[in-house]
This record gives sequence, structure tokens and C-alpha cells, in this order.
Amino acid sequence: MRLMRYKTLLWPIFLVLLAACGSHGVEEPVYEENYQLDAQAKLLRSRITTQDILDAERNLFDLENQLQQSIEERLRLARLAEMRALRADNLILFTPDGNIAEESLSVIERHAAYLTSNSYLRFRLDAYSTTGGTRSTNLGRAEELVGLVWLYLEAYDIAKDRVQVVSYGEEDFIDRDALLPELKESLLQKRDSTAFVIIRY
Amino acid sequence: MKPWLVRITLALLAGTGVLVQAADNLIEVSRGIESAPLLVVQPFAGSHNQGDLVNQLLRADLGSTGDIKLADLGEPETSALSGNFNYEKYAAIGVDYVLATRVDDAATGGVKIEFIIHNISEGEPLLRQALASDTRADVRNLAHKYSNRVYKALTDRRGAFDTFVAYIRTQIDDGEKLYQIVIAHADGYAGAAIFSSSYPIYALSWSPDSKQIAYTSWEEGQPLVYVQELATGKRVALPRSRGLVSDPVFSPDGKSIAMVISDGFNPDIHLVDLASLKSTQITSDQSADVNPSFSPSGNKIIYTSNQSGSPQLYEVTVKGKEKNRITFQGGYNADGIYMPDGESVAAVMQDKDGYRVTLINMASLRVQYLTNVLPEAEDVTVSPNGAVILFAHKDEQGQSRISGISHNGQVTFRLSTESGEVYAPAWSPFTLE
Repeated sequence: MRLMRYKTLLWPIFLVLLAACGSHGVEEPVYEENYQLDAQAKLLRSRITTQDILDAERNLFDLENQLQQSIEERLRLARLAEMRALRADNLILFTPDGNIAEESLSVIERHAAYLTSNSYLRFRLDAYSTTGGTRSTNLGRAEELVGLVWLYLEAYDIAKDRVQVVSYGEEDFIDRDALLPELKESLLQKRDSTAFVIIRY
Repeated sequence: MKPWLVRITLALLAGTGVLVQAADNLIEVSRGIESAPLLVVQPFAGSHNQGDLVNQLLRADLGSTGDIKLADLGEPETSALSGNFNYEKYAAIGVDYVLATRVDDAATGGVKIEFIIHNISEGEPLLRQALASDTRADVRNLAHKYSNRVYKALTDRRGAFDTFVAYIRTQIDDGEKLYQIVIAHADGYAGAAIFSSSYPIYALSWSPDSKQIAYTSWEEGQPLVYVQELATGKRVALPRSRGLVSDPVFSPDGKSIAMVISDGFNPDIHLVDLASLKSTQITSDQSADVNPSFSPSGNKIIYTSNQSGSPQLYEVTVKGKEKNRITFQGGYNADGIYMPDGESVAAVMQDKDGYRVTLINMASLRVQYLTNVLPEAEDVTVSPNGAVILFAHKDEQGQSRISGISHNGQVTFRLSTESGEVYAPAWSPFTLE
């Protein structure tokens, strides 16, 4: 905000300097009439050199750069914070009868909104199923879970070619301990703790 | 009662729930073998010190099928190997066949096995043969070929005791878990790793010429299918997809592989032509279709699908036009594999009690329980002659095992494998004679 104020103040000065520069060598009466400069400005003009103008231009350029960098940095930090928040909340749970748990719908919607506003972003859906049975039936079940999640993501016009799907059955490489609090919680809420999907970026 | 008659009687009485250590297999005759012919195996004659091993392997091989009741005699009868044989003596006690064997050094430097099978009811020899190995080291293979011939003579079914079994075992090496594809003799002997990986492997399938093995591996971070040449170790990855690529199984003509390919949301059965690597979709359900297995003729595929809400077996023509559900009993039926005659399918069923290996008659869809209830069972494979079914399971202590059961459910045995987790057995096709 402070930089914005500086910028507002600097523009008139820069215009004055430009005018001074313009009249420093060759007289241009039309400009003089148009700008109606006050006495102080006239005094300044009489003392301003070309070097002063170049210095002012450079200062203005630096300030604009700082301003731009600051805006980008703030946007970057905001994006980072949003991504961190989404990463911390990327677990989609299911009910024992195989539907997406009510509380996970908002998780999907948040990710879908983020993916929609970041259309360049590719992502992964990791599906886990250890429901019992053979390795293959578990992997197949895991992909079915992804299919359910995809129904929601598809509603946000997210293209299929942005996603990679990895299904895990018995052979998962997940740090279950890290997920344990949430999985324990899911059990308390009567969710299926043997089947879940994680959205990853 | 004469001493040899007592021995026969005791041997027959031992037919229920008794564990017998035979060669490398732990054989348990789980139920009485009622309709099988009774074969008396006479003690081996001859000079070769490997005679006991040949005898043990014969008993393990024949015993694992449940097709033959075995009994033995105390002393070898020299007359049994000559033409002068007393058939009446055995007919009086209900013996069907008598096997007399002689094991000697062969002139080639190997081992020679001579045998004669007497048909007691016919009162004449059924089969008289001799076979020899080139080296003494080949004695086990020779013994399995000898078992093949005896089995074929008594059952009219080709023996498969000299075939191989591939399976996966895990080992800890320097703190790292290693997954290995192991190929062993059909009795579990002499297992050797043909591929090792730090990443999980599952779902093995032999090519019909036994020269290649296809499998699913996680080495690229997701399941992909590879085909490996056994002679050279050369591997080829089959086409990948956005989602699951797994469960390869060679077609009977060896020209294509049926496998699971998914777009990430819906796994279906596809047929991949091995020459062009072009894929043709066979199933298109809105649910997971996995575990394909070809019918012996190659024109049908059985697979597991969730489309009814729980895993059940379905059969589809390779052209994908006709589809039938074949299991309705139990909440879970999976891992279906056709028996070589195509008339039935071996599978795993789960109900409220646990898992069982079953045999489903494809005409009547009647389900026969082969095993008792197990804590867990999967990965069913069948010997090329259909005599024995192998499967992976957990025992009561939670240990991972590969066990076998005879096609009639009368004999169970545990495949001898090294310690560690073992799963995904896949029986090789017949070996060349």
C-alpha cells in the first residue's frame, strides 16, 4: 500500500521533469501554455538537469519493479498457502456401502475449484483399497473409488488428461501412521477405513 | 494275518487326516480316497543308492493327485519283475495293481529305472518300461517322468509331475524387502529366482511354450505388465495406460495376452496382440473387471467383476458379445481359472466363515467345496492335466503358504518353499517328452 502511495506521488513529479526536459534545450511555447506550471515548478525547471531526469526515471522504474515483485510474492505466498491447505485436506473417505462420505464432498469441491482456477496443473488420484480378497479385486475396487470421485471432478470440466490414477491394494507404500488419526476418526464416524482416495499435486 | 497284509491294511487305514512326509512335500490325505484304484508299491530292487529317493518321489507325486490309493509291502518280490507273478495272492485282498521297480546305474553314466505294473483283475502286466537319465544329477527329473508313466497307465491321464511352478517370494536383503519370481519343480524343489525387484510383483502367467512369463510389476510406481523371456531374461513392457495395467494371462495359442487395462476410473478386460501390441477391449462394464483366464479353446474368458455390487465370476466370449454370470453363491467369488477340460472352473469363494477353494461345474453352475475354510486364499492355478490345484493362502498362524489340493478334493498338501511370504503360484504347461 505504501508503495502505491509513492507511485501516485511520483507521477506528477515525473511529468514535471518531462516538461522541464522538453523545454531545456529548444523552446516549445505550446507546452508551456498547456501545463500552466506554478512559480516553484518554473524554478525547478530552471535548475533540473538531464541527469536528474534520468535518475528520476530510474527510481520510478525501480519502484515499479519492487511493487510488481511484491505483488507476485504475495500472490505466490497465497497460492502456496492455498496448496498447503489443500494438501493437508486431501483425504476422501467412503461410507461402508461404498458412497463418498458427506464430509469428503467439500474436500473434492475445494480441490475441484483450485484445479479449475489453475488449469495448467496436473494432479494424481491415489486410491487405496484393502477391503479383503485378492490383490486384483482390491486394485479394481480402488479404481472404482476413483471413478466415484471423478464424477464430481468432471462436473467442474476438469479434463481427464490432467489426471494420473494410481491404485493400491495390498501393495501400498503409504505412511499409514501419518494418516492414522484421520483413519481412526473415520472409523468413529462409521467410514470405511479400508478404502480411501488421496488427491495429490 | 500275514505281515505284508497287515502293512497294506495299516497303510489304507492311514488314509484320513494323517500327515506323511514324502520327499519335499508335506502330504495330508484329508479324506478317504474311496473310488481310487489300490496300487501296491513293492520295495525297490536294484543297486542304485538313489532308489529310496525315486520311491519317495513316486509316492509324493501319485499321492498328491488323490487318484490312486497307495500301499506297500515289506520285501521286494523278485517274481514281480519277472514274468512269474502270483496274481491270485493280490486279488484275494482287493488290490487293483502292483508296481515293481528296479533302480540301477545306467550304462550312459546316469540312472536307469525299470518297472512293471501288474493288473490284478486282468491277471497280466499292464505296462513294462525302462527309462534312463544321462547323468546321476537328473535322477529327480527321471523319477518324475517315471511317476508320469505310472500315473498315465493307471488313470489314462497324462502326468504332470515333471512340470514347473512359478511363484513370488519376498525376502529381506540388507533391510530391504525384495520380491522375487521363483521357478521350481512342481513339487517345490530347487526353486531359483529369475527376477528380483524392490517393488511388488504379482499375477504370473506362463506362455504356452513355457519360454516366457508375464507378470505385473510396480517398478515404475504403478502396476504395469511385463513379458520376460526365461532363456535370456529380456523383458518387454506392454502398453501402459492412465490407470491400472495388470493381471496378464497368455492365450492358449500364445499370440495374445488378456489383461486388465483401465483409463483410471474403470478397469476392463482387454486383449493385447503380442505382435502389434494393439489392444482390443473385451468388457465394458461400469465396474471393476479383473482376473481374466482363458478357456482351453481360447474363445472364452472368465473374469471377476464387481458389477453386481460384490466380486463375482462372469464368462464372456473373446469377441465380447455374450456375457454370463456364473457365480451366485457366497458374497465373493474370484480368481476363476478353467480346468483343462473346460467343463469346470476352480475359484476362491468367501462367505461368512472364510475362504474356500471351489470347483464350479460350468454346465450346472453347481459349486463344490474343495478345501476347508481358510483365513485367506487367492491365486488359484491348475496343473496342466487338471489333477492338482495350487493356491496361495494364510494359515491359522497367519503364515503365507502355497498349498495344493487334488481335483477331487481328497488330498491336500503344502508346497515346499523357503521361508518368507509366498504367493501367486502359476503352473507351467506340460514339458516336452
